Amino acid sequence: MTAPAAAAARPEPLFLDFFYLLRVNGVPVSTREWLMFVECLAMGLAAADLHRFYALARATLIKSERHYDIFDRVFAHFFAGAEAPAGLADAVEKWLEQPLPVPQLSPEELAMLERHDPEELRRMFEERLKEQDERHDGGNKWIGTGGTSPFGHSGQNPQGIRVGGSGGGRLAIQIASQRRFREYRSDLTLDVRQLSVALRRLRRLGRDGRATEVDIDGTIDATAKNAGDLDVRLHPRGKTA
Amino acid sequence: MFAQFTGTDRYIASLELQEAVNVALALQRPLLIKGEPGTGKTLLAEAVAEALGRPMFTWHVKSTSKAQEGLYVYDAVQRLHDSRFGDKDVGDIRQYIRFGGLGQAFLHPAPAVVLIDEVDKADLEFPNDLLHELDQMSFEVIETGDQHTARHRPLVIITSNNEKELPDAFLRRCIFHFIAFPERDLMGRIVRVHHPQVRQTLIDEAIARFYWLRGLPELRKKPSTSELIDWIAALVRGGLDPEDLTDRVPFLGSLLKKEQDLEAFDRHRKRKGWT
Repeated sequence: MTAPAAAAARPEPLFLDFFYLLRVNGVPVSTREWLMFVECLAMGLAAADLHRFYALARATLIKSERHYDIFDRVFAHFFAGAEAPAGLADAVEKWLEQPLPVPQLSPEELAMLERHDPEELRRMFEERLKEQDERHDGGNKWIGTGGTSPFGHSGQNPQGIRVGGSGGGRLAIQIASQRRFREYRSDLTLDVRQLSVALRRLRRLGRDGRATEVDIDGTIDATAKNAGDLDVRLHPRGKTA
Repeated sequence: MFAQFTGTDRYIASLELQEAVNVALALQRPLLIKGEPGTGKTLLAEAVAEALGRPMFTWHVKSTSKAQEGLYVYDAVQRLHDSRFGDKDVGDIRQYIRFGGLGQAFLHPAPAVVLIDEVDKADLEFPNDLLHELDQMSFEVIETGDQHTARHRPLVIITSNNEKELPDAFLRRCIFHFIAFPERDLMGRIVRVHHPQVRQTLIDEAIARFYWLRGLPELRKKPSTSELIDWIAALVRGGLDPEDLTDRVPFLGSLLKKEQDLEAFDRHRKRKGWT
């Protein structure tokens, strides 16, 4: 059969699952936009840089800031598996509020820390979250700040999971999981003020602006009555705006 | 390889914004920019034109704008007037055709940048009326029958203030970027570009005070980046020191523009016991 040959001639669309995952989560991505995205990848834009890849995918696939939050979550889930477990305890965020300064590590120590893979990290994170019951800063195991544990922030662990805070040592893979665009979501209930703004706007509807279009019939009539001397008549536009 | 945009000396662009511009350049698609007022949407087009060394054409959209006006306007009234005195050849329609921003960019002999500013001001159907022209980069002057096709596809940058939803068919053809309000460190860099001479301590104090103001929940209109930059200019010209910002906000009028907001600020001021 020719199936393998055909597959070789037509490269497998790389992230088709990502496309459907976005759609399932309510982002209206169309085929046309997906093709634009794939075209960009084929041109070698965003080669080997996850942050640029993220920017590229967002610019081509997402057309409204209210979908940025969903996009961020789907992206983080799909590409890093780094979505924090649901209901991350508020207490954890509190421990992390005042960070310690970043410690300087020797290359040997850094190399020692380079060994976790994301799946393992995530599992450890959830376990440790269960065990931990108070604030820890500057250590190497618990979730806290300024230490060398893979969890927390402002610390130095090359592959760590950042929990809140801002990136210090190196750009974490989980940039998308910060949920920076949460406030722009549209699936929230309207409040009284928003309704009153909408109603106020409706009340203002009415004839607006000057007469801008040439009234051809009127101009001919007026010019004829004016003994052939030109008398231009204008009328306002028939359509709104 | 195509031209790459990385911001300019005067315009700091986030990595996401740079990428959006570069994608729009590579795919030759319009770039739609949304964001809060005062986040530099309009300035982006100027910065891109400057960085790429391209001429820029601007088309400011108004509530009465029609899609055709960006391409050309046929001045029938002028022609009628000229016909009375016979000092011009009114048989030549072409001299009464004036090209708009988009039309000029299509006709320009080199690649250009077109800014279609505040597209949401116009009618809902307005963007849809432009679909064909933006796709094909060509248009016909109906009065003369002339067909004009762009020799070089210009980079079209479209800004929107989110006053109206834009049609889906239009959105599908655009590259989109939302300029989020800058976070503190980016804001620090932006301010530094505009005020390179000002002391760092004053800038830090001013930015801290600015974000505190923005955080007040009662504000109807939060101050924007451009207002912060103007405010710092006022502080410098007033010869103020960072210490002057600890218990008062001088030149408040350049940050808060609404009466209710000033009243809200007054309540906070009294609670804090400021002068």
